[in-house]
Amino acid sequence: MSVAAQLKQIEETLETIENWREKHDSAGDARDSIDELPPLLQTWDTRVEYFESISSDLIDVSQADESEDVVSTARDLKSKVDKSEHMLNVVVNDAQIPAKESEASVRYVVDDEELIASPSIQEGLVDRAIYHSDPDLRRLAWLFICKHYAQNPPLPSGGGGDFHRKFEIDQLKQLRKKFIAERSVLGPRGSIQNAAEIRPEAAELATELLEVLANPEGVDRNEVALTLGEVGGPEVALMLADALRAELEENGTDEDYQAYLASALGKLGGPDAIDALLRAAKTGSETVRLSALSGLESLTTDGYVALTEYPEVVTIESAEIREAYFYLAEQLAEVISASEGLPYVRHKAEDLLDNVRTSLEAAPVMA
Amino acid sequence: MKILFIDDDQRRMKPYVDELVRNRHEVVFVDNVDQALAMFRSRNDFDLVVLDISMDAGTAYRFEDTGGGTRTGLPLYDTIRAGRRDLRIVALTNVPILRIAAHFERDDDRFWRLVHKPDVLPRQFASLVGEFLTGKDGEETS
Repeated sequence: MSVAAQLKQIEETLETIENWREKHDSAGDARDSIDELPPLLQTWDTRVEYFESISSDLIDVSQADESEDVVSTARDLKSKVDKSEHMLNVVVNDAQIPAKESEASVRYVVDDEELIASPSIQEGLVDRAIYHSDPDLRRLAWLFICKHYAQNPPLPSGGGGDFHRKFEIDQLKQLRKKFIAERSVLGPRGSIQNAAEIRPEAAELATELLEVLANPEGVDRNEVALTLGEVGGPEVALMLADALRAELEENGTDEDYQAYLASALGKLGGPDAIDALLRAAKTGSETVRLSALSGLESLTTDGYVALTEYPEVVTIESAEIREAYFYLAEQLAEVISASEGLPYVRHKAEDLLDNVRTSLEAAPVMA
Repeated sequence: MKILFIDDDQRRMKPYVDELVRNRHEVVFVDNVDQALAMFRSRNDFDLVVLDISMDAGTAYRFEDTGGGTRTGLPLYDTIRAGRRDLRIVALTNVPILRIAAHFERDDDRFWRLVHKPDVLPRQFASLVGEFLTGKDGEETS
């Protein structure tokens, strides 16, 4: 076969893949249409061999014929080979794909403007974020979804469907009322050290609510976030903390959502919640900072403030908790420094710092 | 010349490494940042580093803002640069160059190059590395 014919054949194969994605981007059914691809591309192991073989051919062709035209065409096609492979690794839901390969592909697609705008890619990211067995990959995909929605806030109406209708505002409020009634205390179930345990009956609900947050067109995501705050669980705490951190890093404009996330994290607790709340208290809008400080106050006073409206000194019972309170005191001093021009924020942070210091002073010296 | 090649995508980078070896370079390939830092700290005889940008943050940069790993190579570049001011470093990445150029432009451009992976095949890359190492790539400032 001539070089030109070989390159043409590769180009046509890559076009087939690209057309497949574009067709199913419009129809929204890429994941269910894998069987329309050539058989070699349908599973990961054969796909790797296939793309490696094409890449190798392109490199050989460019080295055998170093004319500018051939090298330039081979280079462009090699770039499309990589792009197609990464795209399929994200769109195709194949348990055989090693987590490390999937992570590399997720990182690739988020830096490619064309791919990240593709509905099929977005669907693939949601799938990885919610259902993949590897926690690092779930977190990575979740982070990019959160960043996407921080840059492009979803519309509260439109989209959705039956799945989303399960989680309309009234249903969510009923759920929360039930969970709150079942609680033994009014304050948070988590603490500054540990995230609240997930309610044993609510594991499936947590997954469904996170999927709604990852695909939030047409839902009130503020209510979803608050409900997740009642559901509990370290992974829920991590994912909501990442959602808040992504909003802050991307300068998201949905201040209400950020404040609700902070409120949910104030119920959940744990190191990720504390980190996200402190960041929000330093860099959020005034409303978000105040909401974050309320969450921190609730966690550091074991929720007494919710009962008495007056923060009581807590008993520090271990060296680990003492260390956590020292860290919190340091961080609150930074929150105060960052609150110039925001007198309410400063006042609230100073009150909380006083309370934390008083708790530390009252604590026995521990080895 | 001795080259430390850091990239989490060993499979796709193999032809590039092979081409460098064919050009008589000694290449040490590592596929994660923690191993890369350990290698860099244990040896100070590398003439050039090839550095991917989008990689898992590893233990070393877990608490840095790496954009979910899409920019891990930037703090790694800073660490390497702080250790060897005059080491030649080629960032070879799929990340669009404009999104990361400012990070490198703070430094003397005699010692770094930015290369977009889609723009180079292995032979062209090896040639670019050779010219950079010998100062024949025409981009050197005096």
